[in-house]
Amino acid sequence: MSFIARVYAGLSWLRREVLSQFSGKVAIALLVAIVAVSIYAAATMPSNYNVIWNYPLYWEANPKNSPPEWSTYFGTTCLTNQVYDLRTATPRISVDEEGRVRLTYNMTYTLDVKSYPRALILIVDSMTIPANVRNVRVLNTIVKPDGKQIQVFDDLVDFTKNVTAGSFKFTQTFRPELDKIYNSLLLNYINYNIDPNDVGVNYLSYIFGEITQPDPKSTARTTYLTGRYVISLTLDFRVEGVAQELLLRSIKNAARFEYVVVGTCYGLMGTDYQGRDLAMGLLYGFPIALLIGLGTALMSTGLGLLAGMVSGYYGGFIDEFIQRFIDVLGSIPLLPILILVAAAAQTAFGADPNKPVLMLLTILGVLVLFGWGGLAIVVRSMTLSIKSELYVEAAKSIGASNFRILIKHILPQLVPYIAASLVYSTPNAILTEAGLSVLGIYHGLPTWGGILAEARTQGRVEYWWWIFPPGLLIAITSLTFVLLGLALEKVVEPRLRR
Amino acid sequence: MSEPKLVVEGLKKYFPIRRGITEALTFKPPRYVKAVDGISFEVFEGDVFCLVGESGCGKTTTGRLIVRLIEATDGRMRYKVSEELKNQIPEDLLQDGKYVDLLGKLPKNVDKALRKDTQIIFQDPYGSLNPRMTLKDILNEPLQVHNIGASESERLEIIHRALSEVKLTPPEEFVDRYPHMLSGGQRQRVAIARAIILNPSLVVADEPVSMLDVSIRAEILQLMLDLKAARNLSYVFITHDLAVANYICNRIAVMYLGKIVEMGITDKVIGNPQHPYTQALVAAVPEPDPKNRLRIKEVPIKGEIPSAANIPSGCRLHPRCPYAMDICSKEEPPMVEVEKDHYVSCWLHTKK
Repeated sequence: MSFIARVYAGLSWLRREVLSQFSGKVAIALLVAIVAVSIYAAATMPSNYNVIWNYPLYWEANPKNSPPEWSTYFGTTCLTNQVYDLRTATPRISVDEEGRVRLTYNMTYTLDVKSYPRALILIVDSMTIPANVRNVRVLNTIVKPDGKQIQVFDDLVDFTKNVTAGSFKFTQTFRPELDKIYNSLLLNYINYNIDPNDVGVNYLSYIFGEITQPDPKSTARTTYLTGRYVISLTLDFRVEGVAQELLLRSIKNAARFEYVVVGTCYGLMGTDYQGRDLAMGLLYGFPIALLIGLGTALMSTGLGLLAGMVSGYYGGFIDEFIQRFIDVLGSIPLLPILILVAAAAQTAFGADPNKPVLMLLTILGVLVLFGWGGLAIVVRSMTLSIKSELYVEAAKSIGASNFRILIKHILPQLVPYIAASLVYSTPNAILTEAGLSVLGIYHGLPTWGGILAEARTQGRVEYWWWIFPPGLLIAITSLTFVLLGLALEKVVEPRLRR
Repeated sequence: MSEPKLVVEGLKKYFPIRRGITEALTFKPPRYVKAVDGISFEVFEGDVFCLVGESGCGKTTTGRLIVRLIEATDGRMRYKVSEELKNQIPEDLLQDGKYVDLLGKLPKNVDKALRKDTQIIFQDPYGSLNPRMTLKDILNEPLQVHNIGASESERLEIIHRALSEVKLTPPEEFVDRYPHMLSGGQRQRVAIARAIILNPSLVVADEPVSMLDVSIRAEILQLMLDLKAARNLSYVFITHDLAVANYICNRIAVMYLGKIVEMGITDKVIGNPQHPYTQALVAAVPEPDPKNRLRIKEVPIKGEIPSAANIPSGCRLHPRCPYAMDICSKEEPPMVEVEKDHYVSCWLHTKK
């Protein structure tokens, strides 16, 4: 009890001392913010996050390489991503005597900027199809503001092969079909000279644009057409027997059933080359960064402390062995070793679903292994000087064990130094991880360094939303710990105080 | 006469000198600092046995050897164990039924019990107390190490009693203080309390008053004598100050360069010094007679004490001795009894 009270008193003294300095105040404020965000992120992080991040299908409906939505305030023409969640929408239902169930969804889409959407996509993920459903025809048409109707796709999906026993989970994406679009363009614009190759490349401008042809001999051109579009989606199920209620329920319970008009801007922080939400990557990067920083720092500091104390206190052969081992470690070049280890881990964990996590742990393990030597040397020399203090001899003459002397007399004097070293080596680990990622020693987890590394491999400097935020977060986190270290240093070393 | 509490025979402590690479390559024999080079003495029960000598003569090393802070190179150190301690010691380690060789290999529990029975008070009360611990923690440590006291409150009571015994009263006021809140004398009292709290029977006091203010030396010395009487202690008292030795000791040994040169009852050694070195030490003590204040005293020996790594041959004093003869540089003088309980190691007193 008295021990806890003493630790508490020590901590509150430390807090008071740190807060009495400007750098300490800034550091504590930043640290509280970082820890709060980390706790929030860790609490809301999906359990299979590392799998989701590296699963392209999950991000399919997102625009690729898109700036954040707020970039419109800086003059970018910005078309927001429009997602229609059809699970909650109410379809028009018609059932005919042949057993067809036809669900029709009507969505309105207002295009108010001079831009074309990037893509159209219907995503069906894990929709339970009852056993008596034979097939479904999925039909999508868009009615332009000027009344012209374009067919986007018309697909027939056969379930008879899949539904053998019970029900079946249906997952598929539907995309525009060029021949359907071209055919309906021909039907609607009879006297226009439409180039099929241009439709093939720029079909979205034919769907969401005004088609003009001033001169009968030239080819048709498209311009922006703002206004209200009506998107109509029809699911035509061929059913044996009655299944209307069952179908509606399985639509409601599907993992995803949405129609997306892909915009040119996305979310709070934009997207990367796979359409991944960078806001998510940055948010979940907080706990990972803290884990990397504090974990590596704690382990290498702990190892250095232990080795230094044992080396300094016991001396002799153990001392010589540990010190020479540190010399050897220090003379091994870290970077080639890391590249080799990363390459080896890449093949070793190839099939594991948790490969990114294992890779990261391996890299951190190497960092810890090579990171404790310097501290051990300093702790050893401090231990040597404390060991020869008279009160240590007094404890020995009492009959105190070596362990007791180490814990009660030597460790308390090392603690302030260790705390400062811990705080300083935390940003070191975060920075090293980021640097290694950029160098290509990359584990695949969405760390800030990892996001930066992918920006580099994609090589697009103009994607500022992809480069600046992770860079800034790394810098701010490092700054926090460096400021904290500065404040702690003044507490530990009173001569630095003015 | 009481029995000897501690019998030291041929005690040696050599510290090896780190060899340079040329010395190692040319296979020169390793060199040593011979801090203590074969000394023998006896400490009787109830004794205050003094070791005196100038800096570097090996007296502190001897003290540290007795409480086994360092390992001896050679020699025997037989220690008389009390009746209650005897039960904890296996039969085969006991010599004459009550003596244990402290330098022999001892089982862990015996070693711990013997450490409890021999304690040390250091010279520097500023260094011997951990500045980060309160007096309660400092005095609690020996109790915790030896599992004394069933509960925290019982231990606190023992601590209070020890503090009042060294006249730090009221103890409640002192237990939560840190060493820096105390004066030098008070700190030394705490160090004494730490030494006696385990109820030892032999205490080594390594210059316990030489770093204290002159005004409180006598108080501390008197406290130590009181404790000796109350707790039936024996002291090995190390000092360089003959005045202090004269005040507190009943037996004295004068050391020079790792050897005892003169030994015996204090009054006989100081009142009638036989060895030239002892004579010089006695002559160096300031005289309290104001009439002699202008007279410059002639100190018979000259020069500095030689390095313990490079000891003169024969009698160690011969390069500085005014009475040096031929034999002095060739052979070491044996210890001879010049009168009852008064021994000298000098060729002047050896009958040829």
